[in-house]
Amino acid sequence: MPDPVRPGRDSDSLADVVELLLDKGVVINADIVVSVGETELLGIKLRAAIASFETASEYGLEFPSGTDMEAVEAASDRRRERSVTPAANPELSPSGDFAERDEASAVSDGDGGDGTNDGGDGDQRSDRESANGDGDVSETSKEGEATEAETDGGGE
Amino acid sequence: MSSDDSGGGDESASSTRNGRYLYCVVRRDDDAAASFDVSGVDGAPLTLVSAGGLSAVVHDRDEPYESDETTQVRDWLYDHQSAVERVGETFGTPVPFRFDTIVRGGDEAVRAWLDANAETLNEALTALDGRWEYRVEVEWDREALVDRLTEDDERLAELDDRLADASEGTAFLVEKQYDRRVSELVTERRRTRSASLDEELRRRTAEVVELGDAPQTPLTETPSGPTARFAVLADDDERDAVGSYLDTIADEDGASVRYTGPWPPYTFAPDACAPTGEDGPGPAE
Repeated sequence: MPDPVRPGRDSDSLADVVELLLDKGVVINADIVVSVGETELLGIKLRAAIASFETASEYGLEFPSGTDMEAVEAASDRRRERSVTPAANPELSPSGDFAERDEASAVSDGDGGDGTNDGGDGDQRSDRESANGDGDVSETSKEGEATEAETDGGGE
Repeated sequence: MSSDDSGGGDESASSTRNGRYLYCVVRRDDDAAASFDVSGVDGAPLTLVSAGGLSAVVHDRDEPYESDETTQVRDWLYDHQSAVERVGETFGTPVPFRFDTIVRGGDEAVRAWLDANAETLNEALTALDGRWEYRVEVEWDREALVDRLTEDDERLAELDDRLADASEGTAFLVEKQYDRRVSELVTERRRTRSASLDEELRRRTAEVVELGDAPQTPLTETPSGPTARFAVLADDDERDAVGSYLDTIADEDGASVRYTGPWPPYTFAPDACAPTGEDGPGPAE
């Protein structure tokens, strides 16, 4: 019998965190609760934003425009599969040390991810749509420059 | 309760709410409480509010956290998450609250709520004791699946034969039938695979919840193959048993497996808890 597959936290874990913290957990139905409904809204906005954010960070914001989407997808699938291999990464201690957090921050600090989301819900939603559609890699990779241009040039 | 102009942003008005942001409920442990030093969302210092044998982990907060900035919200989520985990390290598996759960009425309201829900919470803590949540996601490679299915299926073999000596027009129709049959088979295979996964996980863990086939936060554009997702509640041995099982299926039908955790048992927390009874939120603004 080989070693059992050890659970870990790969870079997709943000999705788990979002789902766990926004969809699950005890909900109090009582008049002592401040604004129950707003959490749902927060969840929707966040999902939209995170979907685009994660897509961007997963692809490293480094792909030149015109990158073959299928190749990227295949690569990301392979990465997922790799997280299964028994040996590596028994990061079991619930220490809450999210390796990907730093990585993600680094990405977001330098890129236009924030900038593109600044416009409010409308923007976030359309962000997500484009992230789900075709050609998002080129969009993603352009984000850095594009956003700067937008903000400087008065995108209002 | 909240007056019409509650959005006015008057700080002194909002602070009369005396709000408490809730992280989780744990078994009361006064020794551990004495050296309790954990920070929460945005670095807020956490405190324990105890009633009977239960403690709630809270910080002072009147308004829900809200932001349009992704990185900001993401950091809040991580803060919340790691606070709950830190608490769990000391106090044992907690009953976690949903993000952004805030009650008004100060520590008193929290105590009243703990009292009113003591039975539910105690039962939950007992059931969760020593166990954590793990997430299992299996995605089958559609092409590998199709390859396998086409080998085995008589109907497809027959359509294949017909295709070989069909005219162009007929070929088009036959191809459509072929595709439809493949879709049927894939769907069916996902269903049976998913059902057997469910069964095998149940056999090895305390509890299993099926999560449906698609994450609510899609991280790639399209799921590339049929997927099954589960949350399981497991102690260390059960965790390893699941791991061993997952190892055996990792290559079937080009399956790739994602196995994450341990997480605080958000999915296995009691659904909803009763109101406190009519304590009243205190004097109106």
